Amino acid sequence: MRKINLVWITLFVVFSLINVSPICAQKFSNPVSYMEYISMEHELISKNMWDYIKASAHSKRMSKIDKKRKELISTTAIAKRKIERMPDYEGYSDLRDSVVSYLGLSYLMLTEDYAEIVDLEEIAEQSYDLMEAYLLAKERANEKMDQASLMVNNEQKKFAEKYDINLIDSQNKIAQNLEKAGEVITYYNKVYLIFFKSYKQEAYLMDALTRADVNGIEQNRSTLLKDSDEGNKKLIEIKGYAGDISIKRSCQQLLNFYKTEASTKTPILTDFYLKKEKFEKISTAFEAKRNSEKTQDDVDNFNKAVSDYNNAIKSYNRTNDELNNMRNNLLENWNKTVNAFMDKHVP
Amino acid sequence: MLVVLKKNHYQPHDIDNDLSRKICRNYINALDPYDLIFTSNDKKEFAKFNTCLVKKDNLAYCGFLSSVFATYRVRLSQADSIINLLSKISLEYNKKEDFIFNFQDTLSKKLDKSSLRDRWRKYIKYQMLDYVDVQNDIDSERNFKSFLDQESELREKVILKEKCRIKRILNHPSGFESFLTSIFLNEIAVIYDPHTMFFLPDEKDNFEISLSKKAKSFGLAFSDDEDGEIRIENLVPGGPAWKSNILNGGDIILEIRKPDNTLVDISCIDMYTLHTILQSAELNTIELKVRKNNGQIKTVKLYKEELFIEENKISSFILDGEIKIGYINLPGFYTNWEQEYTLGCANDVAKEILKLKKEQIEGLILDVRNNGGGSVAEAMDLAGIFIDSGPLSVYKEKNVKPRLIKDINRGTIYDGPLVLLVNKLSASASEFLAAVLQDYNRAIIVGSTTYGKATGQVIIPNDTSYTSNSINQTENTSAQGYLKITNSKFYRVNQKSFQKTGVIPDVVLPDILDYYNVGEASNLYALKNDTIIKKVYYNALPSFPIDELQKLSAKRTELNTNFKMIKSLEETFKRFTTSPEKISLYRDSLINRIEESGYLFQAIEGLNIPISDRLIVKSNDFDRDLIEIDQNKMEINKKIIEDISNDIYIVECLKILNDLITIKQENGDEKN
Repeated sequence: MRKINLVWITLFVVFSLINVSPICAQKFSNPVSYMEYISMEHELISKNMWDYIKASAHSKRMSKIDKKRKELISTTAIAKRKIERMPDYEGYSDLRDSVVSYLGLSYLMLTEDYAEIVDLEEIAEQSYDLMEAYLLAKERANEKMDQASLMVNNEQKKFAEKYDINLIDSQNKIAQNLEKAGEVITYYNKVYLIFFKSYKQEAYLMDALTRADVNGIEQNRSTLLKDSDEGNKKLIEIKGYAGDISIKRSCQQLLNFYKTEASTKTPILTDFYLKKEKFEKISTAFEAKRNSEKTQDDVDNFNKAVSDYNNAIKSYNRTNDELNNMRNNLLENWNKTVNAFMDKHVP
Repeated sequence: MLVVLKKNHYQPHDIDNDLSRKICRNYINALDPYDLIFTSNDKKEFAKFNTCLVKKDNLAYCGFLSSVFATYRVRLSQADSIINLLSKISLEYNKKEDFIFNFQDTLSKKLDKSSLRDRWRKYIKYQMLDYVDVQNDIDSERNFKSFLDQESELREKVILKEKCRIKRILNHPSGFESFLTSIFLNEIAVIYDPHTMFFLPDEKDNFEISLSKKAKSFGLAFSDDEDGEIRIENLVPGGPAWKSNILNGGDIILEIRKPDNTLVDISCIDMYTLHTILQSAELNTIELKVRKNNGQIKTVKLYKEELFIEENKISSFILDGEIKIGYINLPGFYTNWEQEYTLGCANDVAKEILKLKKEQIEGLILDVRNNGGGSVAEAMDLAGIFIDSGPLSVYKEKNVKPRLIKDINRGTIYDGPLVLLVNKLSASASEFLAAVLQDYNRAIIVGSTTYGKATGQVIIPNDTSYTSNSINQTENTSAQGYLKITNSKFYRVNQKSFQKTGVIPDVVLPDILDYYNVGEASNLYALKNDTIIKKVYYNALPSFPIDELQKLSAKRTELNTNFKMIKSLEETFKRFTTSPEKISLYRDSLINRIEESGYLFQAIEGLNIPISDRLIVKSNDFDRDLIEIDQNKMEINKKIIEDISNDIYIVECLKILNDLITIKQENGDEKN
């Protein structure tokens, strides 16, 4: 019985595969060579995948990262075409077909063409906004990937059983690195999603503030408060990665900032809009009154409105500046921390 | 216009012979609703053109309108002469005779000049009924005698009113033929559905202003008195008329001069036409000549400025009863039609809720009674104040897949107990709001079943070349007028519709309006009620204890004098509000009618809450000094507070909220 090395690889978009030591063969005189042809293509893919992940983790140059991504996409597409052209083995095509299907999905995942994988319209209907729709689409697509990956595993086992091939677990260096990178990225994603939900919600709040839309401000403020509290509760459950709590801590700092922004700072800004409107109305009414009709109470009320409004302006400006400075510092810190985390833990 | 309707209406009709005949007959009826103007021969002549809408869509070739215009002009002048003669003859109140309102298009009925003269005599008699005083301290016989003593003087007033009505048609500011054409176009429009209508250019401005918060205005309102004089009713504080320091309430308008030096013909003008002329976007300045109370004549030039429209401002109040409740009345879903990102009524309600929350309210009443709708976008934003997130409605246009309308902002501003108060005149955007809040179990809907309008309209130029991706673009000016056109339907998140059925409240309270034949279902051409097939995912809150709340409320209304009185008036009101085919003009019948209307009037006036039982109502703290500085606002505010404290429906809403809070607390205690 021939023994075939298997390598498990974990890719950052969550697909796993059994890798077999490569032997190049165009004609498949035996089942081992048939399986090995497939595994050779996977080797190429995993090498490109590793280059891409390394670049994402350690390089600052977007052009380099993008180049690696495009290489990976191209490799996947080529592999799919090659395996598609494979004949079946003694009338058995399930292994080939499952791998083709899997690679097809991988390609779509890499190009983020989710419309081909899931019902985007249905997802849009169930989602609050584009962000939620995107995350939900990704989640559903990942589920399909998991199913496809499971199918491949099952077909490989069936094929091996049928032809008396012994499948063994072993990993080459790339596979080990990919697995490690996969763990790091999975951990990072957990924290990132918590951060991103509140970050996006704050963006909605800021948009409402620029339009002086009190309705929008108040609704988004209350949601930001809820999201940041929920985020903090989730973060408590997440331990550090290999003892490293840096991105968790950075995320917590941001969530606490959002919580303060929502609970105590934004009400100061909203108050300004209310006082501004009141001041404008009192001014109009005061000026419309003929001098002979103005009473001392009118004058006092007017002066109070002026004073309230001036104080509200000062509070508004002070609060705005505070928030902007704090936000910029914390976001800069987050970006630095994430880069350092990736640098440290991705091989 | 037919082409524009076919392209854009949600459910366009093909105009066949039957429909063409119907439209033409309806048009003649609209011009002469009481069979006082056209003779039978005239109608026979018009009937020859009845299928013109099918044969050609250019009516100038059809000949129908030109025939009607020419004949109408002649007959109106003849009617004017007939009316003049009636001021010199007795109207005979002891004669047993009836006035049949309309012969329902019976061409065989002989209407010639002589029978028209007699119909005018009866019609003037019928109009005189409005002038019979109902004084409760004397009997109706004596009331009638007092009427007969002043009869000839009152008859002069009625005759003058009818002459003015004729004059307004003949001398319409848009032109006689243009005005009559617009009526015809509306008879076509209404066949499509009751909310599709044709606007002359100035009428469109008027419509939009009524649904706006701000508008350019001269800042004064007019009224006409029985002598036909137009007076300044009031001035908007801070507005152009106010700032002139020359004009005052009560001044009589002698002349209104336009920039081209022409005068607005104010003899016989009605207030709607006068406001339409003055609110026209093309008129930015006028010169007014007035007579002051002391007899002096003054002239003043006014320039339009942007002012807040008082009817479309909202204020919030605190009701102090068993619990402290906030109250907001929303008269219409106003917005700023010109901007893409609007801050309209939803934003204003949000601000009022913030002010109320500062005073720790335990519940909120949002009152949309008599709110006929407006901007659906505002209704969506308003629903979003109370709904966290999710779909609000399914929207459907012709030939387009249905799509979901969603809450644009995640989150809420107010999460506490909420009642939405509605009545039969709560329509369209008000019903949209009621349906969402009911389907999400977010508010208790209290009052009467709503109007039943689940359609959406847009205003587009009456121009076949018009196309727009942004269908609410109304900046285009169209000399051919505009169409308000029904282009969409709304469905609830449970896929059902409130079209024709209305939104049925969770707690129903008796209302006099229920006895009137109003509502979408009363319109012959209303679009039908149907459902939509669309998957909708939404998370409703836990249900309210509706059965219990209904029982508790029913117990109170059964014992409440005012609600009992309303229920007892059902038969009488239905008799009065059903349009009769004819009315008896005989003296004894008139006296009976007067007695009954007097009784109804007295009953309605008597619907009051005893002063000791009235709610304590005050403005919110935040706005108090703003109100105090403005005399005008203070007076308006005082009146509003008085009305709220004496409103039996608002009191019952407060009690329902109290029941809800109590039940929740009891259920909370049981769980513990």
